[in-house]
Amino acid sequence: MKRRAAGILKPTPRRRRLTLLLGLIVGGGFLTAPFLTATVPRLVSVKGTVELVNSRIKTPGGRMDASGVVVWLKAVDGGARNGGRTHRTLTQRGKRFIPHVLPVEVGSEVDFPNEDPFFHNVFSIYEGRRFDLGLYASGETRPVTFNRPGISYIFCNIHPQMSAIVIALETPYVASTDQAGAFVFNGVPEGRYRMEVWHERATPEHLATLSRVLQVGPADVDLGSLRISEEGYIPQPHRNKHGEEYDSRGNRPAYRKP
Amino acid sequence: MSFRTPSSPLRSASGRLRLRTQLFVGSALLSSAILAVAAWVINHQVVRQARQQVQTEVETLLPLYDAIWIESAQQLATLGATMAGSPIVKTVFGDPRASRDRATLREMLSDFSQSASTAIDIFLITDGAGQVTFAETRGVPIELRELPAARGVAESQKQHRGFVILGDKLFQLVLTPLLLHSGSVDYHNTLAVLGAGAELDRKTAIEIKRRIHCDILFLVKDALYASSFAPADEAQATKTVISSDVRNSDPTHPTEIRLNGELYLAFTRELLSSDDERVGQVVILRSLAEAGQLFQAISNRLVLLWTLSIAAALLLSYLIANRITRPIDSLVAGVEEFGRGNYEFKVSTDAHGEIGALARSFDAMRRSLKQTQTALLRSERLATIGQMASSIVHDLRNPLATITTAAEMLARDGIAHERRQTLIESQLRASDRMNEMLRELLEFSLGSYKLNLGRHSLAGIVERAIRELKPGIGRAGVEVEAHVPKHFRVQADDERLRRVFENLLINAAQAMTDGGQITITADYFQESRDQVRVAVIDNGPGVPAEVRERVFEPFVSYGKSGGTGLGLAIAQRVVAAHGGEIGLKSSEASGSEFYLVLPLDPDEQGVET
Repeated sequence: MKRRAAGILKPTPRRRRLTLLLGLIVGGGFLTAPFLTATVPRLVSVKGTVELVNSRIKTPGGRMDASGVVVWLKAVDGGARNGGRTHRTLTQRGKRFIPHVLPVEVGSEVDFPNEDPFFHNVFSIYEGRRFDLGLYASGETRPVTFNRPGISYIFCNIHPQMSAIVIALETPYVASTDQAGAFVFNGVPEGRYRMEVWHERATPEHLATLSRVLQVGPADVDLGSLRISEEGYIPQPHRNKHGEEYDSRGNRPAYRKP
Repeated sequence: MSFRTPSSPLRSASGRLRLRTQLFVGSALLSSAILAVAAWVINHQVVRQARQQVQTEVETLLPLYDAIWIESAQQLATLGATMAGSPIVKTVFGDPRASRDRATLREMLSDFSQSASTAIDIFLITDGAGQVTFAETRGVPIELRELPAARGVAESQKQHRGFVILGDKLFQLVLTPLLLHSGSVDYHNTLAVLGAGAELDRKTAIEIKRRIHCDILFLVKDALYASSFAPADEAQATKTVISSDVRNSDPTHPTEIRLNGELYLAFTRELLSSDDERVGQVVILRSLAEAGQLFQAISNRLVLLWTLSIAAALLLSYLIANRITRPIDSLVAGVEEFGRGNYEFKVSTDAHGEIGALARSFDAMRRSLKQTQTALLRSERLATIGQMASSIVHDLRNPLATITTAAEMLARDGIAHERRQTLIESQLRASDRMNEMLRELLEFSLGSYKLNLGRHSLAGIVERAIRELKPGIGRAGVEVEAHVPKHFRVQADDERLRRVFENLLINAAQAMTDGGQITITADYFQESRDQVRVAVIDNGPGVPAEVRERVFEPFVSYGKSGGTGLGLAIAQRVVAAHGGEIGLKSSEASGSEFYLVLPLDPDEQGVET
């Protein structure tokens, strides 16, 4: 898990010191807990907007598609980590995975229903959860449980243009942006949280700089605008489940433009 | 001194026109002929050149045409190879369910089709035994159970390419084996055979036409499958091609064929299946219209050139007429005038060149002749006057001498009465004779004759002349015989005509000093019944050769003495005044023949009396 997290959140000396400090605070917290829990934590909402800059991808309308950016809050004191197992769905329809980015809490089960009239073969060999659901026909569905945190890149073995990303996180406070880039967390208990951001077309280094600790509550929080730069992002072709290129001649693009 | 110009071909207006026309027609014909030959040569050359060019084109075009099919087959083969090597395809065919799922196959093939560089009209999949498991043309399933060629592909494990008819459509099809790697490196299992093909439709024909600039006909089983012709022309073109021997022609020797009014070079290529069996034919038609247009343009220019040269010929002949025929005409007119005895007519000498020289020398000749003529006339006149004077003097001297001598004798005394009587008679005869001579002289000098015309029998006139002279000539021992038919009647002054006969008789009688015979005959002149010819024939010594030509000239006499030499001259004038003619037919030592031709009285001619 550490290794996976390192992929996203690179430890820095500052962060280590911060962790040490947090450890002390958490320890203090445990000591004082019996006194504090006497009061029920207040639930607030946290909202914000993501703004993508330096993007090379535009929507047909000329407007930036800022959807699919994942923002999550992880309690700094490590409390309230278990939101319970959820059941999610990643549909294959029209030779696409819908949604393209699916954040889930670790332990969640994701169904992969085939709503196309033809066969699909969902698999993931990149990071996160490795699995191969094999070819299955229209109307059938296969489940996958994501019981480890991490990012799973999901493809179809016979339709190279299909791709999806499932991000398994150890927190229930997860939001993904809508097309305008807006995101909102509802019912977040008051407390200190580390906010982290993930975006498909941003480098891990850049994303790490966006991470920060913030105090949630007692009032609702407006995080304002988060600027995510897509600079330095290089699309990489993916390979099929055998680690081969889809087209043996290599003259076919790995990704179709949406 | 007159001479006649024979009728020349230049004399008539039509003759003059003919020369100009000849010049014009000649030059027009010549230029037309030259242009016609040029047109023929150019046409021949252009058509030959065009045919040669098209032939060369066709030779370079054949590899190009073949390359089109090779290229499209190559594209299909590349696609087949891509598919056969694709992990996706292997994934699908590796799954027993997915490999039989039509939608999955269709989706997969459509993905490949979209990425292919050529349009794929048919996809088909068979198993290793050639049983078709999937066949669709442009996304529409077609009924197809078995493809025997696929079995060969599965067995040989090699791509096959060729033309094929599936359903009722004509395709170029490439079959690719889909191999599954087994344990052994050298051994593969054929999972399936993939077929990808393009239909030979109208679009294909038009595309080929675009590339090789030839019209294309796809024929299957002697019927049209598709063509690059406009739909309206298609049926007629097919009919013509099928009924011709184009389809049996050697591609290197195209056949000429006329389609829809246009000339084409045509040849045929076979469409062969992967087993080299004929599936159909492609007729390739190269239009010769460009060459035709070129020739049309050239011939248009030739016609223009021809028109210009005709115009030039017209102008040229006009100029030639001006420069040549006009001076010739003037010269001819001069010659004609000259012929009529007009020495005054001046020929235009302003022409250049040979014609001008001719005109100038003719004019010089005219002037010289005119001078000579004038001199000649003067000297002739002088000679005539001299001759006349001496003749008159001589003729009058004899009777005058008679009168003088008789008078001298009468003047003597004692002349017997009889003697006196004789002398007086001889004096009277001599004066009569002088009187007669003077009368003749006067008659001649007057020159004009007022004829006292009347209808007279020719025989009567002749008889009276003989009767008048009989005593005189009878004494000289001359006998006169007349054979004049009585039915000849003439409009004549009988007195004068009688004197003509008398003159002739006297001349004849005087010539025959030792006596002789005179015969007068008459007959129609030269079979024509409107003229009579009277001949006066004697058997005297004949007219001396030196005067024969001149017997009718005045003061020319022969064989007699005491004549004025005017008798025959007067006779000629009288006869001419009657519209007749007098002449000396022959004169030899055995005798002479004088003749008269006189017009018969039109009312009486040919009437036998």
